[in-house]
Order: sequence, then structure tokens, then C-alpha cells
Amino acid sequence: MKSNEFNQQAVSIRLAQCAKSFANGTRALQPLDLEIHPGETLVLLGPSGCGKTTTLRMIAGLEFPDQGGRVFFGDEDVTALPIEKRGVGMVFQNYALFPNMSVGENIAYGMKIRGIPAGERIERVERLLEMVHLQGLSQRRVDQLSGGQKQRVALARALAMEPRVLLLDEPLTALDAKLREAVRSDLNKLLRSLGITAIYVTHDQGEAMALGDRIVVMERGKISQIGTPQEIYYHPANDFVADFIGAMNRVEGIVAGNRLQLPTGSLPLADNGRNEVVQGQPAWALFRPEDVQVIDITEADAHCVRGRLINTFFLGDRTRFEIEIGVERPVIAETSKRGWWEAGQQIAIRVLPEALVKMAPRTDKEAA
Amino acid sequence: MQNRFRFYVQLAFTLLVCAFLVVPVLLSMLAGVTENFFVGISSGLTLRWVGQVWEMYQPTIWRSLVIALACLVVTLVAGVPLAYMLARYRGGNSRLARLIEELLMMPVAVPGLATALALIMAYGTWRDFRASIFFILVGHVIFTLPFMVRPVLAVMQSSQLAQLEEAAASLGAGRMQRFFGIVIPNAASGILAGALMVVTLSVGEFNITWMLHTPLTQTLPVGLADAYASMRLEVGSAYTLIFFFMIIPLLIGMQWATQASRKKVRL
Repeated sequence: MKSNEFNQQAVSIRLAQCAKSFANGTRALQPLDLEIHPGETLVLLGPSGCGKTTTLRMIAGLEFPDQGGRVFFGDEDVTALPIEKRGVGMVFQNYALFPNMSVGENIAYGMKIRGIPAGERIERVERLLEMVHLQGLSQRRVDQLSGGQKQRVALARALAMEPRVLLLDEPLTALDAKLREAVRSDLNKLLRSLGITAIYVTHDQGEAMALGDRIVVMERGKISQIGTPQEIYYHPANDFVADFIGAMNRVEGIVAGNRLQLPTGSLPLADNGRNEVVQGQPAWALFRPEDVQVIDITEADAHCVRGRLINTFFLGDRTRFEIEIGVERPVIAETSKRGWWEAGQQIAIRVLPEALVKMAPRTDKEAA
Repeated sequence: MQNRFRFYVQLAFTLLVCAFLVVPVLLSMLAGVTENFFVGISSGLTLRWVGQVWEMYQPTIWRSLVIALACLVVTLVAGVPLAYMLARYRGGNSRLARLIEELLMMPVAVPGLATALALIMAYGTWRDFRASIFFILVGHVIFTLPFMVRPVLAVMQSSQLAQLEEAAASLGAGRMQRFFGIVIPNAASGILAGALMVVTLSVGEFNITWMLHTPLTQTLPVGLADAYASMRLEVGSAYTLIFFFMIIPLLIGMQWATQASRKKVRL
């Protein structure tokens, strides 16, 4: 299977005002607009119940949007088409391999349905097995495969009909952690080489970061933010995204000049045009643990915040410090440097202006 | 020591209960090959009664088998798609489907005599139909259909099967292709379990059949009642013996088929 076989068919997907209510009246999805570029891997990320699976199933044709919603593949309106007519390939969380068929028969199922002659079917099954590194397992029964192998058979089966769109519904969740990483890396390579439009649903932010060209973060049936992994990580659009993706420190202070005044020091204000702070008013500063520089108290200067180390965790590749600085929650710092301080020691931290994720005025609701 | 004692007490009790259940069966079978049951075994063993039953009631045996197999065919053809429809209609949570499911069970709860009487009142005037074995077949189908639908429905309602169908649909399979290619092979365990029930119940069915039969459409259980009522006890018992020999290989065969299919298809 050469990459250009798919490139030619890479199609864009557009959802227009797609909402979904269920029979019992609950709204799984608010009206949603989403554009997916041809050949892009888009990850739908969010906690369970956020509507990501419903969105995927609407693109697949397993669910239909409420009145008024439209789904387009390229210029074609596929809203009314059931899944079997949409030309999508789908990989399910539990693989959904047919237990009454061998590995080869599973992969060939779609071709058989479309009436592709047996000779060509066998040839293509061999190529697909090669693509997912399962050569020679064509005759194997499905229940004789390991979890990782099943996953790859499911992928080969989904790709067998050269679908316009590849849909993956938490495909790695059923695998154990180590295997997940290996399969993820293979999957990433494969998706890049195929150049197929792929939509990937997951609740695992690590997976989303590693695989997505763009990530759609969803919360309670709504899109919270769409962006590249870097945008989502460094410039979260709101508190939900900031908290959901990675770990985030959140510190409250008073705006004074171009700094945020804290009880034991001050942080710079981020100069990135995103500030909506008012002089003399309370505001939040948000920054990542890996952006906190931990400094020995003897080297602390006016641009530091002083505090007391309350916990130290050595994690092998990095060390995590919890530092009490006289605000509500301790600051978490992570460093890969081989420094060490004991819990209870006085210490200082520094955060560079460019590392501040966002500064927002404190609202009255939060103050209450 | 204490444990050992308790084990033997429990064993003895179990054996006693088994004996209580098995002795009548053995006695009945023995009666069928005894020259004179009232005199006892000492009167000698004989196959005379078995021969006599075979000669007199052979047609009822074949008729019962034919009806059981026809009943199986009808319940398969009607019951399996019905179960599929009940499982999938409106995404599988339809009140109507649940209602139909409950209604299907009705003939099991209603006495067979009442079902039969209703059939006679409704269709008794259609002479040819009334006098044929099809009339009995209808009664058997009404009675056995839920025993096919229930186990098949249980398998078809499993979320795994629903997902297999979604996978098949994503590969381009239409409803019919999914039903025959994915649903039926993967619901085989439920279908075979249902088939086993249907054949067993049909062969042994007495209540409905007794009301519906004519002298020319006697089935095995009806013939058995006839033999006990109007012949020597030994003849009736010999009849029972033949019944056992007929039904046991059938049951073992179907049980084996069910197990074999379970081994093959793990859902």
C-alpha cells in the first residue's frame, strides 16, 4: 500500500450546526461547527461524557445530527447517508473483530462485500498484513491474537477498502501502558505515511499530543478549544483546557505596575497581548510546573518569589517540588536538573514572562 | 474426621434424592420388558410389548419427529429474525419491543388446553386444516416460539454483537449482509440453545396436542396416554422405553452441537 493511494482520496470533513439530543431529552452535543482539513489527523479530546464519541459517531454515520445539522465529506452532503454508504474506515475500542472469521477473512470482509475477486482479495490482505507487521498470520483465529495484534488487524481491516476517512474510537485504551506507547508510535507513522483524513477520539492527553495535527478539546457537549498541540498546551483558551491538559499552577496576586504582587515576592506580567488585568485588582497567573525555575534562597533576587519546600519527589527522569508561597495552593515545580533540596528548606522560584500561560482578572464568582 | 463424616452424610442424602427420582423411571422401563409386571421379574423378560408398540404406534413416533422438525424450522425462520428485530428496533430500547416480548411468553403461562380451545374455536371449521398435522404444528409453534426467541434475543442484545454489526456496516455491509454474515454466525450459541428447547418441548408436548389431535393425527405423547388408558401397563411402559431411546440421542446430539458452537464462537 503506497502512500499516494490514499493521498488522492484525502477528503475534508465539515460539520455544520450538528447537535445531538437523545430520546430521553438529554443533549449530548450542543450545535457544533467543525472543519477537518484533508489528510489531517484531528484528535477529539475530553473527559467521558463530553460528546467526543457522539461527534465521531455522527461523522461515521452511526448517529445522525438533530434537525438542521449537516455533515459534509468534501463538497458532498452525507448527512442522510448511513455508515455503510459513507466509505469510512473505523477502529473500535474493543477491536470488534469478527470472531467467526480468521484474521484474513476479517481484513477481506469489506472487499468481499464489494465483490472484489478472491485473487485480488488475498493479495491485498497480504499487503495490509505486511503494512501492520503481521505477515503470515492470515489463517490465525482472532482469539489467538494478543491485544496489540488484534488492534493492528482492526486497523488493517479498516484500511482495506481505502476509505475516505479513518475514524478511531479510543483504539489504544484496551492495551497495557507499554504496548500502548509502541502501537501509538506505529500508528503515528502509518497515519503520516497514508496521508488519510483521520479522526481520533481519546481521553488521554498524551495520546492526543503525540498523534494530533490539531486537537479539539471538548467539555460538556461543547468545543472548548481547537488548536495544534502546542497552542492547546501553551495557550489554553480557558480554565478547563488549562486544567485538563497537563499540570498547571494557578497563583493569585494583585496587579502592581508590570508585575503581579504575591505575599512573598512577585511574578512578571506576561507581555503577550492576552492580559485583561486591571491595575490594583486581583488576578490569576497560570504557568506549567516545568517552567518554574527553582533557585537556592541565597541566589534569590527581587524578581523571585520566596517560599518553603514542603515536598520533594524524585521521579527518575525529573524531580518534582511542592513549594508553599503563602497563597492558597502550593506551587508545583518540575526540573530535570540534578539539584536537590530537602523538604522544609527555604527556597525561591522564578517564572519567565514568556512562560506564563495566561493571566486573567479574577472574577467575583471565583472570589466568592 | 468431622468433615469426612459430613461429606458421607451429604453424599448419602444426594444419592437418596437421585434414587427417589430415578427409580420410577427405571421401574417404568423395566415394566416395558417384563412378561407380567404384577407377577414381577420372575415372570421373565420379553421384547413382546416393545414389538407390539412398535407395530401399533410407529406412525405416532414418526409424526412426532416430523412435527418437531417442522416446528424447529418454523421457529427458526420466524423466531430468529423476530429476535433480531426486537433487539434492534429503535436502538433496542423500545417499549413496543418489550411488550411483544412479554406477549410471546403468554402461551407458556396460559394452560395448553385454553390455547388449543381457542385454536379450535377460531379455525376448527376449516375441515382439512383441522384434520391435518398442520393444525397441531400451529399449536406447537405458538407454544415453543418464545423458547427460541428468548435465548436468541439475549445474545443479540449483547453490546458486543451490536458493535460487530457497526464494524460490518463501516465496511459497507447492508442490513441483510450483516444479518446473515455477522449476526447469525455469532448468535449461533443462542440459536442452538433455542433449537434444543424447541425440539424437546415439541416432542414431549401433550396438553395442546391432546386437544388438537384427531385419531389420524396422534403424536407420541398422545399415543402414550392412549396406551396407558386402554392397554396393559406393560404396553404403556414399553412405549415409554421407546420414547427414551428416541429422545435421548436427539438431546445428546443437540447438546453436543451447542457446546461445539460455543467453543468456536466466543462472544
